[in-house]
Amino acid sequence: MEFKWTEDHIAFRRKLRSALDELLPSDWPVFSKGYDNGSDTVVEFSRTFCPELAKRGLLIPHWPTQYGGGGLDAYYHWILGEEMWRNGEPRAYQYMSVNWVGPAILKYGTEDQKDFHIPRICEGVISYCQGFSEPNAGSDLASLTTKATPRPGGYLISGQKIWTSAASFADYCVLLARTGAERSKGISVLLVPMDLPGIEVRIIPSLQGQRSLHEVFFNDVEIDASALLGDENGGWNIVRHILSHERVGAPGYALIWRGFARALELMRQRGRFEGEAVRERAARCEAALCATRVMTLQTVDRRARGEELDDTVNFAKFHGAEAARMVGDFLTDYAPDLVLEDPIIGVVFRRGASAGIVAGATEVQLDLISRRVLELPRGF
Amino acid sequence: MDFSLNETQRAVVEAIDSAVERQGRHLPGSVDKYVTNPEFVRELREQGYWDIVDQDDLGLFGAVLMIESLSRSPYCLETTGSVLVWPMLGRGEAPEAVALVVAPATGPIRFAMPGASLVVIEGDEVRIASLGENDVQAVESHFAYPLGRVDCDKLEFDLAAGVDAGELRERWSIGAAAEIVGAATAALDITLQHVKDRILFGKPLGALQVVQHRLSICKVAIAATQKLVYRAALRPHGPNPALALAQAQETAVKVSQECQQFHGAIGLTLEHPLHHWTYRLKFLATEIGGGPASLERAAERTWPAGQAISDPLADVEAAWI
Repeated sequence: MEFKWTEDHIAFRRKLRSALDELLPSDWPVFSKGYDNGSDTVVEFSRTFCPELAKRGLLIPHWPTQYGGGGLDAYYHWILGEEMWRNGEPRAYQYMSVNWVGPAILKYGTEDQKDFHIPRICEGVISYCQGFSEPNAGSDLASLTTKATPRPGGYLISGQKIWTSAASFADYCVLLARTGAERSKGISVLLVPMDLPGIEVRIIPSLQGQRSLHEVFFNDVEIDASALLGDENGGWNIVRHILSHERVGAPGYALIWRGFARALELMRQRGRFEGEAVRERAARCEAALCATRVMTLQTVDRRARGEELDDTVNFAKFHGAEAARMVGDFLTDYAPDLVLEDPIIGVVFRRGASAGIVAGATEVQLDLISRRVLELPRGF
Repeated sequence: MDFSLNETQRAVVEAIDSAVERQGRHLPGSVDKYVTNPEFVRELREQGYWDIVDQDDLGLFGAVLMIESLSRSPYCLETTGSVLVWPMLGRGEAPEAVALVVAPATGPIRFAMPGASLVVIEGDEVRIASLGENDVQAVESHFAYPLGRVDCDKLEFDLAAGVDAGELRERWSIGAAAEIVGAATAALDITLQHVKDRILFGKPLGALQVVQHRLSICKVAIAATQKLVYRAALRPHGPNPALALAQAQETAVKVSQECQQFHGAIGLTLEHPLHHWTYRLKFLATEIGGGPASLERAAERTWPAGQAISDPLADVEAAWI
């Protein structure tokens, strides 16, 4: 066991940091509207930033070389994520393409799907949204009702999705739709172009940031059968694959930590970081962030070894949300003025509030741990 | 970066785990607040486990793995003092037990008993005394350890010249945190069995979601603590040991409370073995000044006075996580 980066990992981080120094506008905190990766400025910026990262070999370092990646281990992917998240994710929502859309297409896609999507992801010129949650199917995802009714040559999609990030500017939706009656065994995944007739998108104003939440309506949307990812009614395995990658796909702690440290530094400069109570409370947050990073890297280690992700993913996800909340609460108690004054502290405060909800409620993580790890009996 | 154990480390864990497993969870017929097992300790010593910290292929990390495993035993075993601290003092084989304290020694001390050696951290110095029959006043308590008070003014101390008091304290912190991980794991395991077996209103207690969630939170807390303990053992510098102990002490309080709660009244009896772990956890939560002191030490080392604060990821050349 060794918790130490290799020289090559450090060199890669150095290269990324230098690219960020060069490519991000000097007024990035203001330009990004307070590290908001759904803001119009960041999304527009990402359209040139991602291709530039791709040209420099920094967009998909961990993908197989045959698909245009760098063929490097999973830690490079993680270092990339940490560096991007420390800056509020200048790839906007293209990080999802790299983290889980691409890997799902590589694992389950047809050759035609790979030929279309993978080069575009590798070039940084395509973005996706995740059409999973519905008004009555969030944590209980298998109860979703959006239908993809078979018709000659394809499907007719009707239904509604909600809480969808990036839907108003994504090129494609990775859509879960019901193609059969059985709960989890009647679900399929479709790769749906967002410009098809019949798709309507409404932005839901939110506390989280701009365009982080949407409603998406599918009003008898016709789609070709070639949009089906994997087998018809075989979508649940793909969902599990996607969620396991998504749950610890984004090292949000990197941004939380930066904002937390920024708050402490401002407090120190103003003589407000001296009492025992505030320092002890801060140390508790620091311990939680340290543990989150180590637990998350443990899951990366499994990827690096080519092993399937295990339940440590749920541990890391739950603990990361708790750490983000602890920091948010710390800011509420000790630095509410700084939340309003400094963009990065502000975004960390906002993320603390949503940490237990986005990308899977913490209660779902606890249910999974109860059943799979503790092997406790189902009670309901 | 590597999160797997090497062959030697795995062999130690498997050997100790299976030895502890053979002991079972119950100590039949015992209503003692703690039960020692000198024979088991003798076996471990004879097999070289007490010298593990000085073995090149195991070192501090291997010793910590062993302490964690041993702390799952229902028996009360003195490990941190003998296995981690004593070898730093250069005084040969460890005595029967090693008690550790930071001066001034005002409260009861774990393993302060006749036949033990007392190691005192006093400022930058480390002092050692042998404890005889008349040096210790045994303290009766619920805590599942032998506890004793000593009057340091009446003891004859040797100065441990050249021993770094700071490093000794770090080792003690890491050892105590590893003990917490082991004891908390055992307390949670026995609680999980209990909530699966105990039927209430026609269903196992563990089928209730509130019970499931609270025990899952304990599981995550132990996993998080274990990672910080391993990090501190691999890199026993800076804030790592204090952060590990601070996190461990918080976990000790949480897990001991939850495990007692879900056992109900049976967990309050001395006939049930739960107290062997939960009451150890309660005492370990007070070690080296307890949680607040550990947090304060962690703060001192993470944010040294007069230095600008930045996040650990700011240092692009940082080799260690």
